[in-house]
Amino acid sequence: MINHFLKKKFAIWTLFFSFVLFWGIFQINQGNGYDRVGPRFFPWLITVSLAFISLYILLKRDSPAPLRIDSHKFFKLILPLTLIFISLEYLGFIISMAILFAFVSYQIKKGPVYILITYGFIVSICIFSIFTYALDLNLPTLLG
Amino acid sequence: MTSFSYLLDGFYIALQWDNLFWALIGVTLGTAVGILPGIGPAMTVAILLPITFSFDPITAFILFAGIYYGGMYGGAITSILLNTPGETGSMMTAIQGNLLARSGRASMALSVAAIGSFIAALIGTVLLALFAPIVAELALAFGPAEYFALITLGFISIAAVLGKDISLGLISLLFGLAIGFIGIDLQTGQARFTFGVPSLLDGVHVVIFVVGLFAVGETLSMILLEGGTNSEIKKFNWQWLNRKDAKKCSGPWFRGSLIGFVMGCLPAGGAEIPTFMSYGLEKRLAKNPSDFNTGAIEGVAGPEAANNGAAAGVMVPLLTLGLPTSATAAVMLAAFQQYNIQPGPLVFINNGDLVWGMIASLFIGNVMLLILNLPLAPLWARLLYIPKHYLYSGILIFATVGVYSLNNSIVDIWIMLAVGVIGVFMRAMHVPVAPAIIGLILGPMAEQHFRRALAISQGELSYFFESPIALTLFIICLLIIVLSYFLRSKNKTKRVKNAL
Repeated sequence: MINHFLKKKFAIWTLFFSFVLFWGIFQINQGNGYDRVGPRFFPWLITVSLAFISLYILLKRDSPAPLRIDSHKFFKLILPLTLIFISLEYLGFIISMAILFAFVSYQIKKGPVYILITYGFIVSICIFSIFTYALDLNLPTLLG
Repeated sequence: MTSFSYLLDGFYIALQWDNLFWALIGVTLGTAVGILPGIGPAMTVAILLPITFSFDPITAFILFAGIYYGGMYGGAITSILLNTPGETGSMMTAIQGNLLARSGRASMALSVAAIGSFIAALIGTVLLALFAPIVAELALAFGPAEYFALITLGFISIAAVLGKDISLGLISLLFGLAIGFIGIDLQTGQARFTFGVPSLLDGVHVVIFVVGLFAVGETLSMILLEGGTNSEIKKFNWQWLNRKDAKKCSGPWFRGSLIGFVMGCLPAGGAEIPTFMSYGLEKRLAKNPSDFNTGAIEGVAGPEAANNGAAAGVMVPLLTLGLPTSATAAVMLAAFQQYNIQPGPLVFINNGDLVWGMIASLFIGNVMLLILNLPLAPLWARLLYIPKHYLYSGILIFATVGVYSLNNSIVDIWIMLAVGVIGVFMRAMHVPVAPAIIGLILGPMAEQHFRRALAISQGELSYFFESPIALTLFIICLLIIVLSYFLRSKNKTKRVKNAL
């Protein structure tokens, strides 16, 4: 029952996505002299096909059983990840990536945070040094 | 000049010290990464794409080619030792390989896979060098209508072959196509699907999309879908391959190589079908089919050779037609585009040094792989001791640094995260990710050819069916859809009957 509900929810999301695309198509200027196959034609074709396939998935009953995603766990993962990526510009690469390393490691396997943070700093310092000094790439640093 | 003399030129390039060094790095890295469960060659090349931006194209492709073949063999190691294939092409190797490993014949299975990979890759590369220029010459006869039909065939076959359900494959493909239309339309200069966001005017970079779907999507899926458990490591008895076993494997190695190469060349081939075919064939030809219940080396030799033969085979449509038929080939196409090189019939003329250098490096990489893998198999197995939580955290950092370094833009990281989240939902719903990448890369190309064809025919749609090549390709598209539907229905009925 849950699987069937999840499958329907997925089809509703893809249907919603196709409506967003429809809205996007109406914002495209067709341009003069492109009446038959202009910049709207292909996106329109894709969007209609997507809407039809979403409806097909919504109606049919024999799709493979989906894997369940715990919504609580999902937000507990995505929100901190978003904050860590925001901090990249302000805290710099080494600190934010050390936090990222510790956070993701902790999410996969619970362990002492101070050890994970230490490993995170070691890994991010190594990667920062390789990319900055060996490959000459500019990575964000603390306070810009 | 013949293919042979071009190949000699390629060897001259590939045998230079710096290129040899990068080929060695590539095969080592490819094998190392291929061993780690869940990380296939496509993901490795995707992670390295932004990093190699400052490299010379020839060096970068020699590195990628090494990773490609190295990753193929690395995938076999995890399949055999842990029964966890790194990618779909190694699935069949896992069945018999793990049975052999459990019965204390892990080293023998690893040797069979290493030699099989070497033979298949060697045969495949020879055939690639021989046939690719011929196919490229034929492709010169292709116009916009034929190209559009060919790309449509690529779309249909990828969506039909990958995944558990054709409708889910098509959803993935359409998603990739929609993302591919984001940005400025090249013909009219109109912005499409940007929703007023200026950062989207340049479109979504293929690398960001690929890294998001593979690296971020895989890491997030690991946490959200699997629950993060450590792989079980078992102790194995290291018994090597003897002469009798080698003789038993010679047939499956050659048959698998040929099946793999031929199927790999076809747009609907991919890496999975030839391995299934080879496994089925070897089981049918086996003198003692009951061996397949306890572990048969033919069941490792055939599929592993087919997997590597297909790896060379997919290079033919990729190099000659610019048509990727597997996830790794799609990432390789993105790599070509990173250097503003468009694979297709003219790539052998315009970028001959690069293509022949890469083909020659495939030969050299294979020799390196054999030297590395036969004696070092026990050492490779030790890489499995890296805890998953450190591994995936490191991958996420590499993905972030790679994507950020493309344009030094934080917006790219947001897009990567968003694509990664979509990747999690795709995995949860069993939606294959490869068609999305292929859609993103080939979508704009298909549109360009379609509009060009209509411009030539002054808007007549019948133009697409006037050319015999295009018409044949469209008929094949239709056949694939119908066949795929019937095969799935038949399998379903069989499953229901078995369940009853």
